[in-house]
Amino acid sequence: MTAKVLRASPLSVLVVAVVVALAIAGFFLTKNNATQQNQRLLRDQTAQAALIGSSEFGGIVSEITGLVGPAAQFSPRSLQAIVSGIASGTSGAKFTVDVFQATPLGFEAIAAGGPGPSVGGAASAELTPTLSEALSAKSAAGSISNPYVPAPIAKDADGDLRTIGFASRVSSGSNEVIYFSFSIDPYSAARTLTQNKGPFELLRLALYGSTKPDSRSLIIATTRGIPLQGSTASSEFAVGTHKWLIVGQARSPLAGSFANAAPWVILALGLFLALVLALTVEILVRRQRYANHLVAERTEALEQSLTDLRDAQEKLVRGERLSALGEMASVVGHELRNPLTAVMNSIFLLRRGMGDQPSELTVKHLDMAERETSKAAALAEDLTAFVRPRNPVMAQVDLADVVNEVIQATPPPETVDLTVEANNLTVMADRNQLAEVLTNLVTNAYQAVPDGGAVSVVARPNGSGAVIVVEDSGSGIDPEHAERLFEPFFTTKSTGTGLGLAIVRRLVEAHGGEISIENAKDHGAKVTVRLPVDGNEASDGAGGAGAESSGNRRSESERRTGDDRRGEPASSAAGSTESESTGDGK
Amino acid sequence: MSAAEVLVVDDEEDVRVSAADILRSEGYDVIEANDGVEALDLLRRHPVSVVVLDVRMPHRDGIEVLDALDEPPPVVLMSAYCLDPAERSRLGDKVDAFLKKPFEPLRLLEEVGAAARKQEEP
Repeated sequence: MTAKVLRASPLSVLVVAVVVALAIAGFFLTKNNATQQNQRLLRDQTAQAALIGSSEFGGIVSEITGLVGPAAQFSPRSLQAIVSGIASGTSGAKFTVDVFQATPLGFEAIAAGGPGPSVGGAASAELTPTLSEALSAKSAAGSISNPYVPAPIAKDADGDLRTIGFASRVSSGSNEVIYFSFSIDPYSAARTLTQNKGPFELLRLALYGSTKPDSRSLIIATTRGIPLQGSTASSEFAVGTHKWLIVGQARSPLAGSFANAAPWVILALGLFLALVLALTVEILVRRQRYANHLVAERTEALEQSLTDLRDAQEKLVRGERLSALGEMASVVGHELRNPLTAVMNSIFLLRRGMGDQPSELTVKHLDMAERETSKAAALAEDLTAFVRPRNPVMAQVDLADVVNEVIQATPPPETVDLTVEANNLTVMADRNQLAEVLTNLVTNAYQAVPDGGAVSVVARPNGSGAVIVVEDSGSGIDPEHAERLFEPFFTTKSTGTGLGLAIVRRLVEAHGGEISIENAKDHGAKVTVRLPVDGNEASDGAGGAGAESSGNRRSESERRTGDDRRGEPASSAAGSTESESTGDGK
Repeated sequence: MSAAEVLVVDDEEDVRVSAADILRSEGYDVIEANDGVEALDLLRRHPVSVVVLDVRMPHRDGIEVLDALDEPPPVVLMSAYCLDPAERSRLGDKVDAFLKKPFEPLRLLEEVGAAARKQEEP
């Protein structure tokens, strides 16, 4: 039950899935947008940094270029004076200005200023390739275009300083190279490099003296985490003949805070919306489900009451039909009696008057008339018995006694194998009516096995009451007819009044009991009569004022009622009716 | 034994005539009445030994006939209907026998014979 309550409906799950999917899609779209915006800004800022770098280093190069032209005019001595002047005139020991002359043995300093080789000293092995490159650099005759190449960048002794040098032929065609270098701390140089706060404040930057961001060529970095990890942008610019590279990385997202927050806002709103929608859908679905449940429940109740109504109506119809039938049966039953009396009288007189030697035909037909009259009389009896209200006169009755009496009075035909099993059980009943019921059922059972068979009568206690079961080995009943068999005039055979079981049911119900008929397990019909021990419902069930004397009641109940279900009344039953129905105490 | 006189009263002609004929065939002297009024009229003028009296009849029924007679002769009642026990006990001695229709003709002879003997005895 709990699990069922907790289980979400598929619809709300679907809604949640769709909305969450949309939220996630929105999240990634805006996130991507923000990333692109960040990337674009990063590129812009990096390019700006490159521009700044380009102009700064370009400035240095211009200054050096300004020195080269005049330097070509001077002798090594005067050159030395200039170099010394420059070296001391700039920021002191950090700057080096040397002029080297190419000799077959290498480069020899012909003028020197600042730290580095002194005049007459050879260029270091590290510097030699740079100087050779400057000497062999293409240049138009007499001009000094592209005169500088960067010196190898190496760590200084303190590990932090780096040297940047620029070399150039002094003049076109000469074998002299001027070399200018200075040392910078790559991690603090960025701040002194420019006063422009823009890119340097926003970005982590790394400046490389080549187009490859390798640590060997790193010149300046604004952070120690080099090379920069993650999302970066790079921009190249030229310093002299060499291309340099600047790589930037945003210190924090460059796009506006909304652009960066938007994806998260969208995601959060989406999830919230999903929750709200899911709850709403779930509530609606459950409401719908509940409504359906109510409808189903009420439909069921309605169907039940419809069934009840139909049953009640059927009962009513049955009751009305029974009442109409009863009225007719009463009239017919009584109206038959006068003609029957007259006919019986006439037959009697005819027999008396036919003399000693009546013709065979006369006797045959008088017999036939008498027989048929008896049958008609039996029918009249049945009709009257069916209609007449009969209050059972209750007394303690031993069930076994009654069963045995009935079997004795109504013995089975020779072909019938009868089994009787009756417990000595005291019930409250009208002895005569109980006997009538049993006689009727036993007679029916006999007639159900016209060609011989088995009949069993069992009477035993059942809960607080008693049950009597009469079973036969005949062909059984059509289950469809089970209930109708108790209706008056319903018979499955052509002869028979169809009243026997109707009367039996009336009597049983007058005792507060029940009767049912069904097919026995293997074969034949099985009639079950259930009687309460006290029979206290009896007086309610019978109704009507007893319209006959007790004497007549006795004779009625001893009469053997004809069959209703199997067919014609046994001839003995008819005979009995004829003789007993007149019985009356004086 | 002189023939006893029997009055048969029934509005059903065939029943009345056949019953009367049976009684006649047994030697009774039978007179017939068609209803209660006629029966009372006959009885006042002509006492009989036994009355065979139907209960349900037009004009005056069998019970009314009995009520109208202070000292009726022995009566054999016959009827297609059962007799109300209360009615029966009220009538008491006035009824000697009750025959429910249809009855065996021999029963009629028996009851009428018994009633006739009872009438002769005192």
